[in-house]
Order: sequence, then C-alpha cells, then structure tokens
Amino acid sequence: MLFFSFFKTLVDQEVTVELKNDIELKGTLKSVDQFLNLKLDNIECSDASKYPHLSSVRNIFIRGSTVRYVYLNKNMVDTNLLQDAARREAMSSKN
Amino acid sequence: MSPLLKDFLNKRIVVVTTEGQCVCATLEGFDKSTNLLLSEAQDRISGSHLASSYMVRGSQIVCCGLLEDGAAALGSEETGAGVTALKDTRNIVEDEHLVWKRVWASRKQ
Amino acid sequence: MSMDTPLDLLKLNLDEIVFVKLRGAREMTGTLQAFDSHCNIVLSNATETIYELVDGDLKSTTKDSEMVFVRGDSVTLITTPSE
Repeated sequence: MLFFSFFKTLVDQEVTVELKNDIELKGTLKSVDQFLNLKLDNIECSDASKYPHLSSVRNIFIRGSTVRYVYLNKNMVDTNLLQDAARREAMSSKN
Repeated sequence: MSPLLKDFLNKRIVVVTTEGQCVCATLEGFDKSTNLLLSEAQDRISGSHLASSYMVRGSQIVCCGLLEDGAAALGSEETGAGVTALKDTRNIVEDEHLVWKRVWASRKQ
Repeated sequence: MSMDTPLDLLKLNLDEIVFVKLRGAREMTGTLQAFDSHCNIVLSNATETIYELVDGDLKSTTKDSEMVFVRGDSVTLITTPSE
C-alpha cells in the first residue's frame, strides 16, 4: 500500500512515465489504483514522430505492470516522510 | 474494481498491447484485471477492420488512450508503411549475459 | 526475537546510496528513499546506465534523474556500491 499512497500524493502533478516498450509519456497524473495503474491527462509522447500511435490522445490509462520508471521532480516528494513510511511498511508487512 | 477505465466506456480508444499491436476500438466493458471487451476494432496504423467484437486479456494491455473526437486512423493520413512498429514489453535484451560479461570485464581493468 | 527477511536488510540502506541491477542490461545508482515487498523502489539523484553491444563493442548510455520510481518487476539486485 506504500506506493499506492505515495502516488496518491502525486495526483495533479506532472510526471514522466517510461514504459517497458521504451515509450516515454509526460502528463498530469490524474488517478492511481491499488495495482499502480495510472491515468494521465494532457499527455505528450517524448518521441512522437517515431511513435505517432498515441497522437490525438490526451487522456490515457496505463497498466501498472508495463511501467518501467516514473520520473518525478525532487520538490514533489518529502523524502523524510517517505523514508519513515517505508520503515513503517517494512515493519507492518512482517506481521 | 479498477474504476480508472470507467470514463472510457462506450468511447473510441487506442489500445496498445504488450506485443506492440495498436488497435482502435470502442470500449464495451472491462473488469478488475483490465480484461477489455472491445467492439468495431480496427488497426490503428492501416485502418483495416479487424473484428466487430474483440476481447483482450488484461495481461496483454500496455495502455489505453482516449481518442479525441474526429481522430482518424493513422493510415488515412500517412501510409502505414512509414510508421515505426512499437516494441514489445518483454524487457529482454538479446544475450544479456554477454553484455554483463563485458561490463564486469571492463570494470576489472 | 523476530526473524529478518532480506527486505528488512534494505531498511538499513534507506537514505544511503544503493546500486540496483535491472532487467534489460540496465543498472541504477541513487539514494534509496523507499521500497516495498515487491521491490518497487524510489531513488533520488539517480543515474541509470544502459549497456548495449554495438557490433561487438560495449556501449553505455547514462541518464540522470532527481527522483525516480522503479517498478519492482524490473529489479534483479539491490546492493551497496562496491567503492
């Protein structure tokens, strides 16, 4: 649940998602679910000339399992809070 | 459970699959594992008709994009031949062990 | 006394620089900010290196990012750098 909560704090921020098929999509994070499926709005494909498949698409659903990276800005994340949450998650998952 | 796709119901969407296939279709239904039921499916590149009813397993979905109104198949503007095929998502580099062997070798120097 | 699992050891590396090996001949170093049981991780000040063999020659490209989430299914190894 840690990363589900983490992504929920990033809603309405601009993120760049790199997929496992090497496509990079930049857009505003609109929603996330427990599988870390993402929904982005106003997307921009980093290599649109090479991959025009998503031209005339602004709103996109990305299946969590095909995400490789999500690039964020430093100022979006409170690192102290995140590290504490990770410690707590490690404790609780041990049950 | 995945309510994220609810906004796309009965709308034209682009579906990219893990094999690199790209399909335009109307979203008729979905479930929590992102299995999709599509209708009037056509190839995104060539615009050719694929099937009137099309079901895609959730495990094969990469992303689904909502098509803006009036967007045509790519093939009607440019011929499909000029479009680079999408890669698959297997994340596999051929002979990856050989690449790592070279990396470690260069690191020992 | 509770038993430590491999992931519990990662807790000790929070806020420290880690080396992560990834699928697809990639590796990444950066400061570990978070992880979970799927090996999903967040790194800050990360440098990704992608290795390729081009006509038998080893080529590497690097990419820097100030904050990145890495999905756990690409992760094959997490360790502290050898230096």
